[in-house]
Amino acid sequence: MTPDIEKIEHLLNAKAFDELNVAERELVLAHLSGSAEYEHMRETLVRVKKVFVAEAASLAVDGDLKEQILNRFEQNKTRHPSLPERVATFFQTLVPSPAGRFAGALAVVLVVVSVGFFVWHKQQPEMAQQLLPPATEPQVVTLMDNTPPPIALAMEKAKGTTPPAESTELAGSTQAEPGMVSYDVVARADQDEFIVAGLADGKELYNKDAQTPTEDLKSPERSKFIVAEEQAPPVFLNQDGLYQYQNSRVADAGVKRDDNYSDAFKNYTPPVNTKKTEAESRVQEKSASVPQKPNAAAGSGYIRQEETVTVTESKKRKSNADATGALYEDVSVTSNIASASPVPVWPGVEGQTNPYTATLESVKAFFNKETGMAYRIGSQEYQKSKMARLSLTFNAKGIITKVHVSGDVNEAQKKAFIQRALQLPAFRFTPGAGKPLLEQTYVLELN
Amino acid sequence: MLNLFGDIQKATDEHLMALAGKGNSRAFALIYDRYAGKMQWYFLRMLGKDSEKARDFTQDLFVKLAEKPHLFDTGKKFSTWIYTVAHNMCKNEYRKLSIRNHVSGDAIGVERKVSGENDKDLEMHVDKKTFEKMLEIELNLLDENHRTAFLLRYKEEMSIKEIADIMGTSEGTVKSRLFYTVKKLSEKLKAFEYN
Repeated sequence: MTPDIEKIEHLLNAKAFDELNVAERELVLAHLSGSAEYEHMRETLVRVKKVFVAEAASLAVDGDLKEQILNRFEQNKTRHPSLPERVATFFQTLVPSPAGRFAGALAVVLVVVSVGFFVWHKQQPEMAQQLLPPATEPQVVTLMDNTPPPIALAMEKAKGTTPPAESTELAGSTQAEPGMVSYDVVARADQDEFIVAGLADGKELYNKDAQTPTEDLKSPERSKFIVAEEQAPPVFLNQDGLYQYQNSRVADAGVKRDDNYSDAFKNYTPPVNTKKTEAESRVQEKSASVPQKPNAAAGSGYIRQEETVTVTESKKRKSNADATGALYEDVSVTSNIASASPVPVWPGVEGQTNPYTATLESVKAFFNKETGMAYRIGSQEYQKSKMARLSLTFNAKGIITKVHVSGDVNEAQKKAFIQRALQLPAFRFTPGAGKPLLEQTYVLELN
Repeated sequence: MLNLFGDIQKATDEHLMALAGKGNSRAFALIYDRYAGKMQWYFLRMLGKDSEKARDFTQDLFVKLAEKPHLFDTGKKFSTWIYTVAHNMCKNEYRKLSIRNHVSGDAIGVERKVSGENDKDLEMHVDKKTFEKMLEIELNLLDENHRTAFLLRYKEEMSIKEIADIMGTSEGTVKSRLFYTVKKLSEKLKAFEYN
């Protein structure tokens, strides 16, 4: 693995080995033999830079050389540029970037076309009208100010109905009404399983039976479960700062807002859930589950040939150097396959060569696709950008059983990450790519 | 528009080159003042500390620039461009000469105390000047690509991307070269202590 010199440099410049924290030491020791080597590198860089600076400062540039160069410059500016050249140079000075010049030229073309169309329209109004698209009624969907949040309506309808544990939808989930933005109130059937899995004691206490009276939820032992559930962020906060719980039984138990939540969370606006409907998701998943067989000709399904190629380049010297002084150009490039060996291929992550990384890449793609959040590993300068570490634990069914967030994030951001993770559908493991028997944790670094 | 008698000093390199392309001598002189020293130092380090050759190369570079300032595309970053030109000049020189400087440590009279038969047991007490000489030796022993990357990073403080653009290679390659150069140099120079 190529060491990230930028990260290590930053540490070498900033800290002695003893001042490094655990993660920083781990990074350093992945590439260096120990603290002694680290300190040698640190000292070397400091001393080398001093040498370079002192050397450059003491270097005397020949004064005669400058005069000679400037004379040559004067001799070569005898030609008077023509008007088009001067205009072009003027614009080049104003808009140095090629992109800017292109945009300017495009703008001029558009103005000319628009003026021409306008003139023509005046002269040929009927014909121009036929070319214009018909005006359409603007479609506006707005949330009516005084309308209760959709989930509150769903909560009202859900009271006394079939429990959610047996279905994938809260009974009475609201349909979009005219003028309202629809929030997706679909709860995963295993939502409770996730919450319970993080609390060993709660697992025994929790009763998925729909007939369990809500009074039981108020018992001291069950309150432990309720507290754990309360720590999991709700679907959203309403304008009064009160949580609207997805689980109607918890809401019925009269659990109040946790005052330990940061005030910053009051301003948190949940994104409008644009998740597809379940039917659409199933259709997509079904079509995606058809395995890709890139090496169909070999007839072996998930196997491809990995080839080691030797590349030979031939260059020739040019008669004249180009603008940057390059004197050699490519003549030919030949590739010869030195060896070939079969390697497994997993659909969607064809570049991976072992089951764990294949699954990890699948998890990343899954998370990115479902949440729209980017992830990067090792591409940001260490400690110079906000990085979150999201740890997702899956069971064999692809259900997330634990979520842990750490890193340079505040409480509101942590809750946002957890909330998004909670809303993820079940993850489909790539066939044969390390499907866990019990639980497996994958760590993503997000920014 | 710039006030030629005041603000031109604060103009960017790209703007100065644009003005030089239009025949502005003062703009070109400013470019020379900003870069002549840097390029001479770069050539000095890349060409085995041959000061005559470094001067000649600096002269060649700026003569080219003086004769054809319009060769520079003002849409690009000037520092990257001029170092690319300098880098290619050095590459052409290496191909022509196929010379590497090998300097023996003994030739500079380094005082050594031999405390064991193994080289690792050698103990050297040198002064600062000798450290500089040893640094020069080790840099000259480096492959030119490693040396270029090292100088551009730790003297000119260029970014990895800029260095990759100048050298016509990938950022990963630059990172790898830098890391192993620093590691190797620190290994070679760790025996030295300041008095």
